[in-house]
Amino acid sequence: MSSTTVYKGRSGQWAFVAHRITGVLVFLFLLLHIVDVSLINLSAELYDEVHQLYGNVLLRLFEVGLLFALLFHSLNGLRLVAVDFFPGAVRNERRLLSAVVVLTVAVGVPCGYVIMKPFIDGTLLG
Amino acid sequence: MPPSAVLFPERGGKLAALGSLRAPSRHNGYVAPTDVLTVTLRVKRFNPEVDRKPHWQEFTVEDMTPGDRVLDALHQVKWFEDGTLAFRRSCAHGVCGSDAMVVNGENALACQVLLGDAGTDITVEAIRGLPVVKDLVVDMAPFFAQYRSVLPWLLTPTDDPGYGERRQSPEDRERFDDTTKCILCAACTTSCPVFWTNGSYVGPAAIVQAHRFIFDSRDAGTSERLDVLGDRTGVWRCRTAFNCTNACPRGIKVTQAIQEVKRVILADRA
Repeated sequence: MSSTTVYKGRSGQWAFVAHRITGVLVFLFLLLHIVDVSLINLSAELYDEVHQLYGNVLLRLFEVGLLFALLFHSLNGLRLVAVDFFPGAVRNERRLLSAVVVLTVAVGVPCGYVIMKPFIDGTLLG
Repeated sequence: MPPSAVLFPERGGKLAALGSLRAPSRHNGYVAPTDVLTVTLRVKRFNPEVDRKPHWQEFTVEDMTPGDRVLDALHQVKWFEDGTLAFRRSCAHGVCGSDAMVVNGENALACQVLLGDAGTDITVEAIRGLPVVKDLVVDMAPFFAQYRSVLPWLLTPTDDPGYGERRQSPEDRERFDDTTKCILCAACTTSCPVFWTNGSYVGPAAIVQAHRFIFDSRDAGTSERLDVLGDRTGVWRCRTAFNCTNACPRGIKVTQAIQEVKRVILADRA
């Protein structure tokens, strides 16, 4: 048994951890996004070439992950704002978290399907 | 004769005999009150005079019953197996708040966790975020410094000579009733992920104590307390992970109290 152990915690702790991780992911993508969009200042061809890469299956999968991260981070952010402002939200924070997870999956799965559709249909894009 | 029979003849006699007749039954997780349990206790040990880093030590404690507490198992170890095991406890009945520790991965008072609930494989380690003095004993000085920083006493108007009673309606008393229950065990503060990484955060316990006076109609020190709690190390460090609320052995709605203080600061300082 290693000398460090993980604090068990409950849903709130793991929502906090997931919020941090998705926050870092979204931030890193934002940095990448600033770089790829600013390429238009250098040359239109370069911009197009780089953006063709986003049609690649790995980057599409990355985008699906990013979509889930964005959905969870934004919806959970709204949950935290609600917890800050409304006593009712503090009492029902676990229910709110369930709603966040359900909404993330409910929106993420169909949108993820749309992003991956070219590969699922076999009609490769770009 | 097992050591517990010396201390608790009634248990060592009758229940030990029962135990030899039938193995502990845990059908569907149900533990009969008369079951005799053998508990494996894994304790994270650290002796600063010898050890460079903490290590786990396993103890087997026999002749326990589901109604015994984790604290009882620790007593068995300390009294009969290894007197060097260090932990704090005073009242042993959930009032003094001395024996907060991480039991099976979550903060609790060892005197409140029944073996029937904790099971027979139990891990015990010191609460996190405070320096370990030895084994399960931590240095509480930083915790109490944060407690003092919120001025946890009644501050009266300067023109009040304090000769008379300070009366209050039952409704006004009810407003802060929840936060009067705090026993300063540090279970909440040391369960907070923000406190683990940033020890300068004033922590849930200090905010609960401040809440108790901020919402007291007789108190006049709100502004001074909000100065402390509105600071960078104050309530805004809270990331609403709810660990504090889950850890509180007194059932105080800690996160709710922190949110209420946040809203007071917002209304007061906006």
